[in-house]
Formats: sequence, structure tokens, C-alpha cells
Amino acid sequence: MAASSPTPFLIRTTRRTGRARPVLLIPAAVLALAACLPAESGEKFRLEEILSVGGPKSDLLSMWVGVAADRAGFLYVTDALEASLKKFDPDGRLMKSANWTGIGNGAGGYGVRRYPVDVSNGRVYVVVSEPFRSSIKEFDTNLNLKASIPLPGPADDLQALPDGRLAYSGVSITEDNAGTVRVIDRSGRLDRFFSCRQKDDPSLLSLIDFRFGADGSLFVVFNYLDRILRFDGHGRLLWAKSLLGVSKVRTKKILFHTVPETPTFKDLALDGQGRLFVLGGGFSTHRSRDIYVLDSEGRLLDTLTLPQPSHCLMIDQRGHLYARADQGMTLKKYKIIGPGPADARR
Amino acid sequence: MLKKNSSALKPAAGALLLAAALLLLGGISGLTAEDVDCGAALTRCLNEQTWLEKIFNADYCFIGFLFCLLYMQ
Repeated sequence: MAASSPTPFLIRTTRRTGRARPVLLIPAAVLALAACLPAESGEKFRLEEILSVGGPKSDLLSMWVGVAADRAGFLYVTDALEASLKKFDPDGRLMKSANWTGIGNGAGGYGVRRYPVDVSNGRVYVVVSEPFRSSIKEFDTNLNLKASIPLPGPADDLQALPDGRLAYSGVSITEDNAGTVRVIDRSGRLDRFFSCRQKDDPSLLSLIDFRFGADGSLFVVFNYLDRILRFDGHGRLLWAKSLLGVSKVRTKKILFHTVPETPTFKDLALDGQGRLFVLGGGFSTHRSRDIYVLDSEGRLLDTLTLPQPSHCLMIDQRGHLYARADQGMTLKKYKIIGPGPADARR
Repeated sequence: MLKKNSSALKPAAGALLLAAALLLLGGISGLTAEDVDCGAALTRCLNEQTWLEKIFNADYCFIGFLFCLLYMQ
């Protein structure tokens, strides 16, 4: 197996020396300028930035990929380039960092992955997807590794449910695992299984993100199809929604597999009122910046625009929204200001 | 620590980390996230796999590719 190019690590090393090279000042200035752009308001909702963690001139984050927040507002962030889990206090100060070393196969595994993370009941869970030994790592809130729950295959999204069970979405080129949500107990035993893909969907177009609502219903967005679904707690489809007017996504064939070219939706998050916040991809007016706000019946309420592209969204229990900036070097926290009782509280 | 990480990397990781590197270097060369060619990274990953790996670890490059699209584009 060939070793990878060390180039990314050279970048990281450069950043960590703290000596800014002149050639880096131009992109830093561009990023700083972009960071000053405000979020664009929708008609009913708007975002107000209240916290920024990391940044191009900071070494706090190199390329963050997953984020979760506990009830007290502490943040748990996975960093793909550093292969680490980091804990920040509610003001964005780094408290602790734990490396994957001894946990998984370094930054290898399935390329630079999302390393989805979630927190519930004083436990932090991180998916580490690796060939033949994917697992969910369980940490305490001091980032001490407590357990490893084996998975049958790689996973792309994770939710730690309030009752202690864990839900994850499978990702695979085989039809059995693509487009599925599995709910397991902490020993890894399968409890529930949802298949969200339609029979003729190519498996590689069936990558999904999901969230269970407080009432047990399941919301799903497809990353490469114009499709948003809601199931009830028994797995019955309640509604299906298309937002982008994309009847057929562009694909190409590689090694007999149909692969997509452009993401449709990148992630979804639920607020405390059961509303969906769906991050659009390459088909949106503002690529990877538009957030579609839907009510629990799938009706479009509004569209917001992030200042910078993101790959994911997270809404904490206080109703604050988190997204990426500066290509993964910055984590932004926004207050969601909207109509009625759904206004976020600080 | 860098050596440790490097030795553990697999081709898909290498290809996609390279894509990440290109992205981070984008400001220098004028590249943007949209310019990162995930398809080229996939092709490179597949080219570096042996046929045995293609059979028994068939997911590997494709999953990295899907993430590349989500993160980089």
C-alpha cells in the first residue's frame, strides 16, 4: 500500500510554526474578508453570529468535520487532518484534545471522512470508518476512550438518541447498506432498521443524512438526489419532498458504478420546534451556503444563506446553529432569529 | 507524529488529503473548492489499488470520493 503524499502535513506544519509566510498572507486576507460577510437573511429567519472558533491565523482547527454540543454548551469537534476529537468550552476555548492514535488507523481509513460525532447522557460518540473494522468510539466528556462498538461497515451520519441507543446511516457500494439507518444499542445489537432508498436508486446516489425528531419520526435528506423524506416511528413514509427541481442528477460510470458529480443536499438539522434546516449543495443558488428552512410537514418556510460554504449543519439544544467557515479552519456559531416561540435563546 | 500518521495512510486518504491540500493552498494558486477534482482523486485511488483490494475493499475509494464531493464542492 503506497504511502500518501506528505503535502497536507507540510501545510499543517507551516500553520503550526506560527510563522506566517508572505505567500500565505494573500489567502489569509481573502479568508478574513470573506469572514466579514454577514449571513444573508431570509424573509422570516436570520442568523446572527455569536461565536467563532479557530480561524486561518489560529491553530485550533485544521479541518474540522464533525461537531456536537452538550446541554451545557461544551463543543465536541472532530478534526480530519489532525485525526482528533477536541473539546471546547462554551466560549470557544480549547479544553482538551484526544488523538485517534491507538483508537483507529490514524487519519487513514476511508480517506478524509466526516467523523460524525454526537453527545448524549454524558457520553461522546464518534464514528471511525475503516476497512473491515468500522466502529463507534465512546468517550466520556473528558475525552477518555471508554468503549468501541463495532459496526458491520462504514457509516456516514450518527445520532446519539436520548434513550442511550445510537443511530447511524450506512454508506456502501452494495445495495444492502446504502441509504439505510440502523438503530443499535450500546452493545452493537441491531434494534431498528430503516431502508430509505428506492429500489432503482444506484447505491452511490443513496448517501443520506438523517435526524430523529422528538416524536420518533425520522427525517432524511439524500446527498445526491433531490429528495427529503419523513418517516413515522414505525418506518412508514409520511411525505417526500423535492426542493431543487432536479429530476435527474448528472452521473458518470466508473468501474461499473454510477457515481454522482454534484451534491444536492449536504446535511440537515432539526430545531426544537421540529423544523428542518437543510443545507443545499451544488444545485443551490449559493453553493453549499443556502439553508432551506422547512416546517415539520415539509413546507418551505424560508431560505437563509451562510457567509461561507459549509459541509454540515448542527443545531444545539438551545437552538444555535453551527457551520463551517474558512474551509474547515473555523467553526461558526449563529443565533437563529425567527418568528414566534422558536426564537433561539442565548 | 507526522511520520506515524503518514505511514498509516492509505491511497484514498492520500488522494483526498491531497485534494484537501489543494483546497487549503487554493488561495495561493487561485484554486477554489469548486476546482478540487474529486473524480481525479478517485481515479488515482483506484489506480493505486490492487485487484484484490478492488474486490475485497471495493468501497474504499468510492466512499472517499463521496466525502470529497460533500466536503470540497
